[in-house]
Amino acid sequence: MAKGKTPGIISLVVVMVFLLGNVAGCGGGGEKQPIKFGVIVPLTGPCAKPGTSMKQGVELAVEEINAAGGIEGRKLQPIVEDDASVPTQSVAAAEKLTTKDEVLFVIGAYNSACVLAHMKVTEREKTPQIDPVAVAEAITSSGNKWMFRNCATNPMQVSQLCDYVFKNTPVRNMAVIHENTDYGKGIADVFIQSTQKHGGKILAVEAYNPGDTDFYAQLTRIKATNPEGLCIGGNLTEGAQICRQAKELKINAQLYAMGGCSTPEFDQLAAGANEGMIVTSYFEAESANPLARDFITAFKKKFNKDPDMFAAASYEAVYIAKEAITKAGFKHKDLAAWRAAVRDELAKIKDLPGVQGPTTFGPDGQADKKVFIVQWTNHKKVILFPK
Amino acid sequence: MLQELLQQIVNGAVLGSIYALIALGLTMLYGILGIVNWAHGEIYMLGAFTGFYLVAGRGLSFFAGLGAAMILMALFGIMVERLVFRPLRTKPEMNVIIGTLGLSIFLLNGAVVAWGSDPQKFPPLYDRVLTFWGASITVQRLLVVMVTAAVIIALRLLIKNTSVGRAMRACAQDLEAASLMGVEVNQIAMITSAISAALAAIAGTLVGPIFLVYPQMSIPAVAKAFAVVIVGGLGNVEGAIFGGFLLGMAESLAAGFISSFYKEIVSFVILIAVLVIKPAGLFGAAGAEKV
Repeated sequence: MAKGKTPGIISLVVVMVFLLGNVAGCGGGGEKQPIKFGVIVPLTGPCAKPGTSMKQGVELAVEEINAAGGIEGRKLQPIVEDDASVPTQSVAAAEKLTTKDEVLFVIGAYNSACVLAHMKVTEREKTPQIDPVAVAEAITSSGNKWMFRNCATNPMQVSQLCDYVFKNTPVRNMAVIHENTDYGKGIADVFIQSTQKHGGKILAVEAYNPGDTDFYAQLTRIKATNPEGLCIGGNLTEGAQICRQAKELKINAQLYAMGGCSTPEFDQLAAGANEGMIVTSYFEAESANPLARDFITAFKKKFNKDPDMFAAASYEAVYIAKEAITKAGFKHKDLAAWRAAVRDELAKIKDLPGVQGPTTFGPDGQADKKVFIVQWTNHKKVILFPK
Repeated sequence: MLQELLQQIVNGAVLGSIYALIALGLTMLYGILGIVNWAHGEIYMLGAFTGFYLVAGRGLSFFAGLGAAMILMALFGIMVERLVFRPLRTKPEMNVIIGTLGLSIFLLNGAVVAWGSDPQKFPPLYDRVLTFWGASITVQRLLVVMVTAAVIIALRLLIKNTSVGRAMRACAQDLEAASLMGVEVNQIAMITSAISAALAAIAGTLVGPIFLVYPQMSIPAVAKAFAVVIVGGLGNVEGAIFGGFLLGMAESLAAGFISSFYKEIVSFVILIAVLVIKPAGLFGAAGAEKV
């Protein structure tokens, strides 16, 4: 009996697929339809906090653009997917966004491991993607021409940090504790190379897993080597606990960390253990950029809190996409052609002003960005670079 | 070197106490009622949040908060027993597993909705650092070891020397036979579930100030608790204590003297080795007996 039904079901499916295909085709080329784009961020799991900031940055940019009439009358419509910082979930999200939702472009994600996993999907579906915060080098160095990144990579920010430290401070003997992921290993590798290049010494390299809470074992081992400097290659939740536990174990090394540890949340969780710590930062409220100041005011008004670098970078990413979409126009025969046109316009972006400073994409899709170097001083950040 | 060894042993003892404390509630529930509770990590997380709320939000002293969190979570444990464990107790094991897994998903996501997934930090409590022979420990961490020791002694007295304990042991041997011999099985089930949840609340409230409190803290906790319980012998109280300290110590020493890249691997190598050599766990008797 079941056998008899099958052809009927198959033809029904074929008809439905055909109909859906037509409807979606209209969505791609028709007038005044909203412009759908995908946002992949972690809204649950260990990185939910920065993921939520990213989502809010996107929401604010979309609200501003739509309030000003959209892009030639067409509104932006973000479709947000939670990847919980899990690469497999991130891949599933990218599959859904590119094939089912048929988005024009994708913004995301937070974790390098997630981007490295799902960028294969956006590349296969020939969908342009802007990566605002994930910093693993391979994301733009692997030759994926659909990938654009508007922040400094791991090597860029870590070597900039090392340049600063070796030029301006006397610290030479270093230890590293890093997250055992693409992101953390990337930081550790460059930190070790740069330190050795500058004539410094690496005394210990320790690893931990994301979500770990107790770092006494690793820190005890680091303490035994008596380093002058300790670089934390990880995210803010673990980074804050490492700071506290290093202090409990009386490790007197100068602490260094990247990006995530420059946020107010980090300061709150580290609760004073971060005093004197030197961190890189993509976005500083005290910077002289007028776009940044307008963004901070608008963000505070909408979300009633200060924006962090993740919100700023994601906000900027939407405006970069807007520029490319405007240039690409709306006369395309189908979604694939539209996506390709937007991709080509993204590649041409040069000196586009943004909240993090101007964006110019290189041939590999990597923007040439400088990071700030700041020091935690009495729960505030003092900008060490640029002066 | 010797100083480093001492520090790593201290670290391992703290870690072991935490593991043992979380695993105790899990193993009791299985040993006595035959319930594999996948939601134990979430009960631990709720305990931490309850303690956090009482201490940070309501300004209770730490020990008052700890006691109140224990009582509240014990009541929660009774509720869970009545609503989830009891209807499933006579059903096939798979139903129990799916039921508690469902509870786990429900509680975790409920917590995310209620409190958000941002980590919360306890106000500083006993963060004075004690130093002896070059090894450092905060008072809060020392407290974990001491409370765990007290809990282990109290639990042992309860199980070996009271009539409730005797009834629990009877239930562990055979639920049906125990009920035929006049043991109020439902009452024992509620008490067991309450103790299990209270133990999780102690663990959560003790550990909260050392680390951070957030909904997803339940996931690594329950994974490690299952490893501990299986190493020690599923359902065996002594086994959970021994397993907890074994894994805590092994992880600390492996991270300290081999490489931190092997920290997690060591505990799972131990787990697999135990499963191969003595599948019932180090303290588990081969066969049907559970406690």
